[in-house]
Amino acid sequence: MELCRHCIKYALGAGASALRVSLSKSIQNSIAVLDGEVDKISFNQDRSIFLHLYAGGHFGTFSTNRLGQKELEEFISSAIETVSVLAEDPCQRLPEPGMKATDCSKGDELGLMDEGYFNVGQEEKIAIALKAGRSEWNKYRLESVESEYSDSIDDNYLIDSDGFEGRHTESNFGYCSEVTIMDGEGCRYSGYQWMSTPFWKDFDPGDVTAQAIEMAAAQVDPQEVESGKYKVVVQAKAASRLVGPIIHALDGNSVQQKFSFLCDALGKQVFSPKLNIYDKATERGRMGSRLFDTEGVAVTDGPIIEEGVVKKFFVNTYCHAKTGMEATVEGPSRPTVLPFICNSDKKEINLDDILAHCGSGILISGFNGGNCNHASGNFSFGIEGFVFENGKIAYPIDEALMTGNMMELWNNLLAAGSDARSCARWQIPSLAFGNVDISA
Amino acid sequence: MRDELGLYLDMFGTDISQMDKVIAAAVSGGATYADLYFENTEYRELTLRDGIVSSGGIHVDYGVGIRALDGEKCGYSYCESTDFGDMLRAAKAAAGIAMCGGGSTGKSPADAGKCGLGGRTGGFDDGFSGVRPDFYPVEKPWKEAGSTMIIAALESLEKKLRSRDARIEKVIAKISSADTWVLMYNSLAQPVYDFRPLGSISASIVFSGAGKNDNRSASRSFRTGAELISEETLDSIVDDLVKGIDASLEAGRPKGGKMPVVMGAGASGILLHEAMGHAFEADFNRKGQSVFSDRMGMQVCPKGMNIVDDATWTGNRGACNFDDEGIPGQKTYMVTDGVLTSYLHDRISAAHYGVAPTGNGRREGFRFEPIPRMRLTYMENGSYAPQELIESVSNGIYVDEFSNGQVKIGEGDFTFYVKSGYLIENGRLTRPIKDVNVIGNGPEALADIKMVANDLKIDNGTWTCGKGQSVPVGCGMPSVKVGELTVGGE
Repeated sequence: MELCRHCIKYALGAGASALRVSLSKSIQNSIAVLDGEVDKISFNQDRSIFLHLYAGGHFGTFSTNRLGQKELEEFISSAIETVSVLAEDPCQRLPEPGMKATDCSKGDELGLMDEGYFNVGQEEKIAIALKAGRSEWNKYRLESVESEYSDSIDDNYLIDSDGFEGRHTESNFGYCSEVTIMDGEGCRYSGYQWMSTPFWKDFDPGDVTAQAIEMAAAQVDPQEVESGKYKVVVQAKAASRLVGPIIHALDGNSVQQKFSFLCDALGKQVFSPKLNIYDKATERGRMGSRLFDTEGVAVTDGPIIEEGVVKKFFVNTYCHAKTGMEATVEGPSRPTVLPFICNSDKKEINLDDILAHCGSGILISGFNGGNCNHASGNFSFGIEGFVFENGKIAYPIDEALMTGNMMELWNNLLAAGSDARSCARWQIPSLAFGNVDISA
Repeated sequence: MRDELGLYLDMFGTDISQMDKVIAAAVSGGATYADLYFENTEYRELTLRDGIVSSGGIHVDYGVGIRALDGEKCGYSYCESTDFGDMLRAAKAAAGIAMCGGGSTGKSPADAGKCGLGGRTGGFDDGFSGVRPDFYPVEKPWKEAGSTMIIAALESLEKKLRSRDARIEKVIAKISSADTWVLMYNSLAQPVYDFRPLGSISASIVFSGAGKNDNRSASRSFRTGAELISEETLDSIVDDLVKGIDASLEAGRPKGGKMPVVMGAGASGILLHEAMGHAFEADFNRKGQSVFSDRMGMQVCPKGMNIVDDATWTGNRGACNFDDEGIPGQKTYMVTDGVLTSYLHDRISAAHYGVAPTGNGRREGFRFEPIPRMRLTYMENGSYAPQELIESVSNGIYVDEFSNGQVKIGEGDFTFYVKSGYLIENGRLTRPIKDVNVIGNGPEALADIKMVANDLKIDNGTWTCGKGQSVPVGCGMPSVKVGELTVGGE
């Protein structure tokens, strides 16, 4: 931290007019298990400095992991020289002091750091990795079971030359399994499952591998479906793929560059009135929570989309100065889709409820490639999943695609569950849409 | 005067004796092989936005990755300093792999000597007796190019674009360069060094017409110096961007479903990359995860088709003088006359299959262990004229611009996203299409290639492959006709 303060002092003395310095430190540890044996271990520590440097109307971003004082001073001098030849841009500046977070210098204000992180020994981790990677399965041949235990600490310290000082620390314990099985016809099917938590006490990877195997087995013997329009249910584990384009379109820089299908949408109802997306940014102990963004601007809880109305663009300091749009934060922290199901007041809604509500259609368990044109909102994604009939899964589907436009899709929202995975930063539950084009 | 290796040793503040000690620490737990990967990267970028070049930066990444292998098991650690003590600590962390699960396997990975280029031990040179490869000669080093010239190029690029089409509302253009110095050393006492330049020019435009906005992007990227910046390169990017504006504003979507797909020369190499390239990477095969795991020596494509993965194409993003395990760059035939003849190997998989490494052990940087990755992947020419492919289709699509793709290794199901193309109706290109995803199955699609044209083209865009790590790659293809793929539509 003294190093960061020295960077600011040195840069201001060398000709910079303002500076923001971010020091990132991390520890990462992982143990991979292949077919019941430890296959890979790794242990690493990172630290690097990132500078946002302002000098007489000029601006640049610089980073280095060579942190000796002399090396850093030479790097900063070089950075100042580099920005001096760039065009002046008065919109490049630090955020207004009143926008910035306060009381955030300890790092653990949101309770995301497991203080017992260093008490867990490597042997215990290896034992857990091996135990959770074990698999028993008789129905199909297991071709490969690859699992990985991982843990990490991220410690980010941010200060600027206007006096802001913030720190964010969090720990994480995770486990994932990827399984390949072979059926009697010699066809392979794969399944993937993961979990993570900031706290060792909550870390229970016990059934991750079994779930990955179940996912692979559920896909055996896929059937072709007819091209046409279907009701579509997207499982929580895959649904953030459909929220991502909305978040991108709400980015102030996308709007300023006219690279957004929501350019004129602020304050307007453009989605189904049933759609509510809130940013639950500061919930204590929850993955993704934070007190400030990368500019040091305080994040707040509140609506992003409320009853289908766009309530917020994500406008950073540069974009605010450039466009005059109200400055907010650079992006969402924990966007959360609120639950609803048509003709019901129920607030606890699981996948079965949604399938029953929809009756029949396509259940999407994952996406395979695809993209969205952010200017138009047109999208096309490869999908994997199942046909469901009378609210029950009937059979897996063969190669298929989901194609449409984001505005139309979200205006055909039929239901949103309350089953978002707690280990995810984005709290996106299972979603149901009507009238979706499926090509097969 | 120091020899070239000496300059690299100086850059990383080490010497052979010190590296031997770090290697010794890495194998101290019983590992049978260890290697060091020193990296020093300086990445520079300048960006034009809203008519001015007002942002730029320099990013430095420096460190050493240490790997200990016990048979196919890997211990990996890195440090962001090359101080002897830090390297020893990292080496001891990596050494732990041999102490997991009941002792060393005693098996070693393949060594470079199997490549046929004459491996040697104990030397201070590259360890290879052949002529040192140079697949990325540099005329004008990036560091000496100066920002003023790059700023002028970006401003020129924007001016050219706006003068060509008044419908262009926004331009973002970027020129970036990365100079990377690497030094590798292993327990076979083979030192290898390499300097890797990488320059890219990219531009995206937003334009409007017919009451709607749309966007296009284009790029050029090579392992080369600042000679990349030329009027010719800028003009070719401008041509690519402007030529598609009319079609983009008119484009719709086809009726979705299964249909013949003619893939234009160049960027259609994404089909090879996704449909088979990943599935041919030997780590997926040795673990039994790939749909091609049990098809070595079998006919996987129609006869006459040759598919290669090539590190020797001068200046290409996928070119490698040496891979990241110190294996010399080479050209690898994966499919010869339609028969699967080679996977893409790193040292581990080469030893597993008892073959020579193919020089595909690559990594994003010192923070990652090397794994089998593609380089420049392309199909060799066939015999048809490109027009014959289109004329043979009564109802299908022609596609020639793509943004991204993906594959499920086990099932072989791949997709790629089409940015632009045309409907084919009765043997003619008719209505423009865009924003459709195409899905198929790798083995089925390869076997279903009906025609290959004689117009091989390497696409020189900024292709980057993600497989847990990002590495620059290249792709190319002559025009091909696939009998049937599933196309997203309305």
